[in-house]
Amino acid sequence: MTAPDALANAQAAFAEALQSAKGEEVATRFLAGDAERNRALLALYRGNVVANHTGAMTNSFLVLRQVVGEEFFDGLARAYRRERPSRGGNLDEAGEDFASFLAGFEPARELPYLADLAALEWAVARAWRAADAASVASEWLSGFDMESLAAARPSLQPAFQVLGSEWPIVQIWRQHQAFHEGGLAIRLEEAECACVWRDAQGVGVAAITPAERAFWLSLGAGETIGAALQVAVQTDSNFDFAACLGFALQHGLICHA
Amino acid sequence: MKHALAADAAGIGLRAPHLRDLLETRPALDFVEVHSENYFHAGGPALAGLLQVREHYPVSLHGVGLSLASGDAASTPMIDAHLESLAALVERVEPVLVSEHLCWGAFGGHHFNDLLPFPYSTEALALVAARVTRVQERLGRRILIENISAYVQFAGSEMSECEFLAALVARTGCGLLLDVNNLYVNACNFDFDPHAELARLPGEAVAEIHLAGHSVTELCRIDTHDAPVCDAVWSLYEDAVVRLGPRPTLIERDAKLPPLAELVAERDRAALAMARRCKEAA
Repeated sequence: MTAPDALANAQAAFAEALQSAKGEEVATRFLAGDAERNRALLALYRGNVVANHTGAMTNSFLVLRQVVGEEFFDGLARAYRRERPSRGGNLDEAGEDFASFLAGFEPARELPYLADLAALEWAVARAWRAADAASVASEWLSGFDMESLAAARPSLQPAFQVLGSEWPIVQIWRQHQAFHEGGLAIRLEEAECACVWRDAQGVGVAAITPAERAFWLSLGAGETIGAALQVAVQTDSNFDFAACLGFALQHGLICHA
Repeated sequence: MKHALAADAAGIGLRAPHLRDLLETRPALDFVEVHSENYFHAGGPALAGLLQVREHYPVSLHGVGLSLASGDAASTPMIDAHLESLAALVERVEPVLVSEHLCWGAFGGHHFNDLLPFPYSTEALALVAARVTRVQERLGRRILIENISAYVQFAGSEMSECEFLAALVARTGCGLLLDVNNLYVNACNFDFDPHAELARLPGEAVAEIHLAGHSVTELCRIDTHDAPVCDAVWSLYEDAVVRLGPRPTLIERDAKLPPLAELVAERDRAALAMARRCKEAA
């Protein structure tokens, strides 16, 4: 007979060995067979855990990996996992707070836009698997007069997200897409806000102005179009309301509630 | 769509890169199987693609992240959340089979996202049986539990993996997914007779068989699922179908994916081997 908590004790020791070679010695006491060989086998498991996690991170952060190089990326992913281990059985969710990790990670300071780039890539990954929703047709606008439009609270598609950044994250992202042609020089001093959506063509990414971002954030928080418009104009008096709505209808951002 | 598979059904594991090809060429397959977690999505094209596949093939959902054997309370909320995601997917896909591994991945609030072995003890049996029962109750259906490949064995094991699985079947009424490759890998790594171990499984509970390839290293055999099925595993498979009778059989490939046609050819080989050996044995 084994002790009542034998299973938990064995797993606790195994878990330590998965996180660090320092845990191997204790873990081998729970294993059958040669201790030296078991240490090597525990190291094999430890390597698999890292490889599984890095593989999932690679899928979600392809651009970031290209920007920093494979070796540095793998190091970032390992450091991230150590500090913020996976909390669920679905590895697609690994990377949820990679952006906030990078924002505070000293070795990544030389590339200050990495955190925002990670946030953009995560938004793209989320957009791919967000809930489906039926977009309104482009005639939607004709159902309103100015007053009723100002009072409307349209629903936005679940895949739609907006981000702010002090860096040209959309240009950086775009340069690393398969469809990108030519090597436009990126001017790092150009701050860009971004929006991410999903339509029949897949997931789209576009640069938007700070006023447009303020408009969408306000609508996303449940405000009326009138209130969102006011916030946008306060951000930038040249806010182009018609262009913003036109873009939304073109990409199906507004949905039936 | 919940019809049971024919006993001699043969299919392939379907991974995202093959999805479009499968829908366009529609090879003759009795079923396909996907990793449940790859479709834990609220919506989007991946899930839509799977639902489209389901119009043409029975779909089996194979989980890798439920962590049925976690021995700590901290893992319970994680397991519960995972089960809810699985339940939502099962409701949408109406799979022909639902399976998970006999393993743990989560402990102390961390998830290691791997299929990890544990001591096959009566204590573990009580815990895993309670979890399997909970899963079956939540999903409202029987699930299949799969034997894993392992690189270490625990001093605290009181029985073999197959004996553990047999006891689990007796306690929960679950079905079994026999991975012949995993059984063979373990037999090599731990130097036991896979045929004797196979004989310990309650044959009537085996509702699916997996076939896959593995790698041989100096240290041990590693279940990489990245190669064609090797001759020794084919041979063990043929012995298994003679013993068990025909069973729905799946070719699994998780990495280094070949063209779809190669997997289909391997599936055809399994279907032929199953038919031939079962006919000879009859």
